Amino acid sequence: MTKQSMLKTALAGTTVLAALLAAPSPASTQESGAEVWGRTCGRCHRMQPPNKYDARHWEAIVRHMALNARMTADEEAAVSEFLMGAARRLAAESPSEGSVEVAQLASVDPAIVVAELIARAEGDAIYKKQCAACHGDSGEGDGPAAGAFNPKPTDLTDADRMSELTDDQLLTVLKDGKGAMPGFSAILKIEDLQALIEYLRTLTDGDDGR
Amino acid sequence: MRRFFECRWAGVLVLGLLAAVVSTGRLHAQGLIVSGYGDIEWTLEDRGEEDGWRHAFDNHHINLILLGAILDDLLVGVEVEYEHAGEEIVLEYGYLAYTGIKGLRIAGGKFIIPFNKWNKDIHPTWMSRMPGRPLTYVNVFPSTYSDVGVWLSGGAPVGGGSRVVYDAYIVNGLEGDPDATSFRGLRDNDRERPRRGNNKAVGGRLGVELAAGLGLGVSAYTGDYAEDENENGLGITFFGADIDYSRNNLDLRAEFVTANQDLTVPGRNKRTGFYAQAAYEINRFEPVVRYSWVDFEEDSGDTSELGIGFSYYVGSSSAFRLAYFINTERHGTDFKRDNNKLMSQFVIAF
Repeated sequence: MTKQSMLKTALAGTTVLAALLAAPSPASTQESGAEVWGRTCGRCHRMQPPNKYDARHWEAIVRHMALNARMTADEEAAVSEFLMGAARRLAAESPSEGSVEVAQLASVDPAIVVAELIARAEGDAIYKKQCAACHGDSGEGDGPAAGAFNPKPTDLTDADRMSELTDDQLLTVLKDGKGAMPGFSAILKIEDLQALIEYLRTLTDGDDGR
Repeated sequence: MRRFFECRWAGVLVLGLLAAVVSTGRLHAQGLIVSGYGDIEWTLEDRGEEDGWRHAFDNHHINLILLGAILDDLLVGVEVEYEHAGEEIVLEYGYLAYTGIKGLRIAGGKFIIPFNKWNKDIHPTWMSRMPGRPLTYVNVFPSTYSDVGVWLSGGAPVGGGSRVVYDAYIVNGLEGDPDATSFRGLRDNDRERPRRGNNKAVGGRLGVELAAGLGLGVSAYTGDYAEDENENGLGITFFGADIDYSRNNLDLRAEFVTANQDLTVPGRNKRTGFYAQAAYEINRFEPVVRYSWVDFEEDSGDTSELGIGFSYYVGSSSAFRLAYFINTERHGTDFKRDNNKLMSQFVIAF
């Protein structure tokens, strides 16, 4: 057998192996679109801002980039949903701001404190999944996808800035999105969003100004 | 006529399908996007004692890209490349891709060969972070190499956000004269010479992409590029390995390529090349350093190049780049040249 024949046989074997590996698997990814976007697209080029194209164009682009980046079907769907959602959000009218009443402080009750701690742990997990790609692991606005945004993603560790936002205002932003950031009302329950807010408040080292 | 079907059929087919889509009024609804990239360069280069330092402008690329989805599972992608502001206009790629099978995408037409990362994924100037190509992809693997055939690709999750990716393809293959010394000349996209035999080239890449930002891959390509006087095939084979790490503002990558070329005389022509590149972006300013090296075993030569420079990102996909390259070229004991150069480039993707 010549060297070329051996190589061709090896390539054929590799193809079969790869096809088997690529077969539908129960271990398919459960990553969020933001996570996949931050991890996959930045591997080859600088991240492009979600407002660069409209939702219809993102759909076509993601399908081709999924081919070039060898994304799985789940990854392609997640990234497409994320970018199209962000683009639609940007195309829509800005939500009214300042119409949300200031939230009232909860009374200091041990049961509430424990509940908040649990919520923060859940919020941590949600943050890592949905927010860290843009806002960074520590919340400083320096995630893998941050380069795509101008202005940069909000620095969630900025105590002064965060203190100006009430929980209700944060909830509105998380539900509806703001600027290039997509809303999460379609994929996160209200309890998840509240847990996320609890966690976001911890990023300013407790000086959240509420 | 045969050349037409071998090389141009992809473009004709793709354009025909596009025309059909337009004529049925479905173009707008299908999200067809016109995109592309271009660059303007100014290079100051040491051409040796006789010519001295010479400088020139170059409109290296103006490339138009059409991407669309004809049907739910059928994609069309076309890139028309106009290079050096001259008469060279080629179809860089023109493919139809079927995506209806989970874990497997099947593309046919002309596509960029997925060998390591540079040739297919990193070579566009708006993505490469430094002007020019690494020597590895000038003198060893003939980048940018695209060809006509069938390409299978896909990815599979392996847990924790990591995945295995694969490519496998069969194409017409590189072709040229026996003992050709320029591998880039073997691409010859216009196929002016009659093709010899029915041998096709095959190749593929198998890679792992870890969630932490690390990617690893191995690649291979093999096929006959010519025949000797007894009509025996003369083969050319490339092996490659690539590694990259991309996390936050840091981008690291390195690639290795080795080429073995059959000759009409006893022995083989072997070349080996390597490059490594590091870039780190700080507030739109991205310093970058790249080292590349090629060993020409056939004439005991070697060439190395160290590039140091930076990019300033005007936008998310436009940049001004400046780099100085220290280039040393040796062949045998008689030839030595230090053709250093300064390159500036403005690049934009749209």
